[in-house]
Amino acid sequence: MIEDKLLVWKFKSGNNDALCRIYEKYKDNLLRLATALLNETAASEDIVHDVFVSFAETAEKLKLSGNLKSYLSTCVANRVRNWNRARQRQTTTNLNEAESVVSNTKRPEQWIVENEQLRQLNNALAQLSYEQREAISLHLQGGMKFREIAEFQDVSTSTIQSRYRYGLDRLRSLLDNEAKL
Amino acid sequence: MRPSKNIEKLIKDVNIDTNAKMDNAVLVDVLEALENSKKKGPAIAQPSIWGIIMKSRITKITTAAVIIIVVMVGLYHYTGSFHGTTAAFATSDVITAMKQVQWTHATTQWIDHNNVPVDKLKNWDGLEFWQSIDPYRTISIGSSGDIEFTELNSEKVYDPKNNTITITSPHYPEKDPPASMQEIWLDCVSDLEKSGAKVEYSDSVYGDRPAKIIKVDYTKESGWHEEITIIVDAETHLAREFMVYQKTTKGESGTMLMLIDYPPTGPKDIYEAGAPHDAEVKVIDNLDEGK
Repeated sequence: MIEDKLLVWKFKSGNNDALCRIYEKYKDNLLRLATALLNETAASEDIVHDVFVSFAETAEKLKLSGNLKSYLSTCVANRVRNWNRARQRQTTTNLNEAESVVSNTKRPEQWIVENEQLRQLNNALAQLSYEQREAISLHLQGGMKFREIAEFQDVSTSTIQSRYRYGLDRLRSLLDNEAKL
Repeated sequence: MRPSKNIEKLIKDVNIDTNAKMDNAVLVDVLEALENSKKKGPAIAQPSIWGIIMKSRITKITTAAVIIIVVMVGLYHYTGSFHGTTAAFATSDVITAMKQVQWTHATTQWIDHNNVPVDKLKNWDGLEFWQSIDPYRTISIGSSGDIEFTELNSEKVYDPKNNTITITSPHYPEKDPPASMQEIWLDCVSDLEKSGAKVEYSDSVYGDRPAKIIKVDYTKESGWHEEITIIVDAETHLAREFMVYQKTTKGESGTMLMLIDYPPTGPKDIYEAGAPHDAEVKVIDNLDEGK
């Protein structure tokens, strides 16, 4: 936290090294978050890329009131929402393209899973409601507190806690069923 | 072990990393974006450290830690450029002294724009602060008796209103622990050396010990003004008192006085920091299920 405050301070002063350090520090976390929300590698990489470029462009105006990791995680989640909305529009206007998107998301080589367990996890995550997946991913991979996620989703903290717990229960059930097969 | 046994850990530890191709592409673009940002319109703001402290809604621990860093940076910067005539304040002496410190302890007093002592200033109510580097531990005690006790793997917060201690998940992944005070200190020296602050040195006495007073007068192009006074023990080279008067571009002003000492030991847990033993303990956000 201390390091982040100084990194942001230096970044706002136009320091290139500080920006590189921020990228190095959070790139993997943010990619994992984007992948958990999207389940698509290429799109996740694009989103992380765009988030950092926007972040760099706003050096002068950046007003960071919370912690840096939560801020960047929120940026990723916002972009994923926009990306999903854009995909939904595509889906409703072009059925052929929509099918292609669905098949892409199911292509195993795009999941970057290292083992069977991760493949199962990604499958299970994809079966949760988006709100549940977002609550779980932002909390565990984005490092955000329930209160911060509640603000982001514009619901109460108890609702987020419920989404988180029910989501985990559902994941547990899905993974247990897979293990029995 | 079935995957469902520890789902939170499984999700948290999922091994997906960026690749070199992506890293190169992103870094090229972000550095270009930052350069463009520098060229466009007005110059990028040059926020002062004190400005960050005063204006940010950051946690008390972070704020206190930043203040301590300011003390150290101030010492390094303003004594580091003072070689020769006063050998007692050579940079190497100060660094050596700081490295030998195990615990830093500070208490703060606040004076508002009317020159009246107050319990707290806007966005800040930390009254007492402790930090040790090895093991890493920071403790902040607020004006209402609230206590934040942070270690590498946990943060414990005592809420006197509800008499509860809340334990939350790790803030720092093992591979990326917080930087030590010295690392941060040395890292930001190069930036502050360009600050162009006006510095005055004088001899004095602090308590019954010889001391040096370092006064730093610092005005930003924007009109943001700070006067920093650091009193340093002339023999140990450690800061003992740190005072900042700050006046913003809008004319708002306030003063912080920090008294610093370096005890051989400090609180080992939140109870030694003042939390009562009968406080209810709540564990949330923990990574391992079932705790």
